[in-house]
Amino acid sequence: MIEKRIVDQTIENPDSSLAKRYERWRNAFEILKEYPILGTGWGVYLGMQRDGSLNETAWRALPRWHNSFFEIASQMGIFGLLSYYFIWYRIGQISINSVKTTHDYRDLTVLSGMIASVVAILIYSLGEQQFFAIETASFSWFIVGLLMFYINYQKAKKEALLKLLKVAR
Amino acid sequence: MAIVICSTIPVVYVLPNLSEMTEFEHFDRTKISLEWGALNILVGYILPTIPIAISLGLNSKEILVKSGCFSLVIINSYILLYARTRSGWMSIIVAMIVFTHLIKKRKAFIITIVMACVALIILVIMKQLRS
Repeated sequence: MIEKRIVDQTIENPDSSLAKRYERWRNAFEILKEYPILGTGWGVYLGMQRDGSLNETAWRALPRWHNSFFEIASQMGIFGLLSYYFIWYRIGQISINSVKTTHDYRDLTVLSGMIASVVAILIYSLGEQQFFAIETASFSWFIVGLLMFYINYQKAKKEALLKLLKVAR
Repeated sequence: MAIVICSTIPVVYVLPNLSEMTEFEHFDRTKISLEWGALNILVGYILPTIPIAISLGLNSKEILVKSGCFSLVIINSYILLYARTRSGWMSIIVAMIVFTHLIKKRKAFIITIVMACVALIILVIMKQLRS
C-alpha cells in the first residue's frame, strides 16, 4: 500500500491526487489570466469555472485549488498576490534578523523550532490551502503569530536587560 | 512534558483521521490503518528527533528539552498537515533541514541531509522497479 501510495502518484496517472491537483492549479491559472488585476473576488472560486462561467454545483468538483498562492492569485489577482508575498517576505526578514541577533542558545532553539514549524506549514501550503481551509487556517496563523510574539518578547527582554545595565552603571 | 505531549497527540489525533487520508484512492481502509498510522508517526515524530538526539549525545539532559521542543512545534504543524504523505513529509524534511541549520548543529544537519537523500534514493529505486 505504501509503495502504491508513493510510487503511483504521478501526473500521468489520472486517478492520482497529484494529477487532480495539477488540473486544479491549471484552472486557477486560467482564472488568473482571465481576471489578472483584482481576481474573481474572495469566495467566488466556489462556483467559478475555467471559462469564467458560474456553476452552483461546481464546488463539488472543484472545492479547492490546493495551493494557497493560487488561491490568493485567482481570487485577489496580482495585487492580492503581491500583498501576500509581502507578508511572507516580512515574516522571513524579521525571523532571519532575529536569529542573527540571538545570542542565548536556549532562545535560539525555541526560535528555530518555531521557524521550522512555519516553514513546514508554508511548504505544505503549496499543495493545500493550509492558510485558508477552515480546519487548519486558525492553527496555522496561530503558529505564525506565536513566532512573531516570541521574536517581540525576545526583543523586549533584551531591551529590559540593557536598561537594567544602564541603571546599574 | 513536551515529550509526553508529543507522544500523545499524534496517536490521539492521527489515528482517527486515517480514513480521511485514504479517501482519494479508495483503498481498503481496514487493511491500511495500522501500517499507515505507524508510518506517519515514524516519519512525523520519531525520525525528526533522531538527528538532534545523535548530535546532542544520548546521555545529555538537553536532548529531552531540545528534541522535545522541536518535536512539539513540528508535530503541531505535522498534525495540522493532517499527517498526509508526500507534501507533509516533504515539509517535515525541509523543516528539519532549517531547524538543524539554525541551531548550528553541524552533525545533525548532515544527518538530516543524508536521511533526505536516502529517502529520495529509495523513492527513485521504487519508481524504477515499478516501471
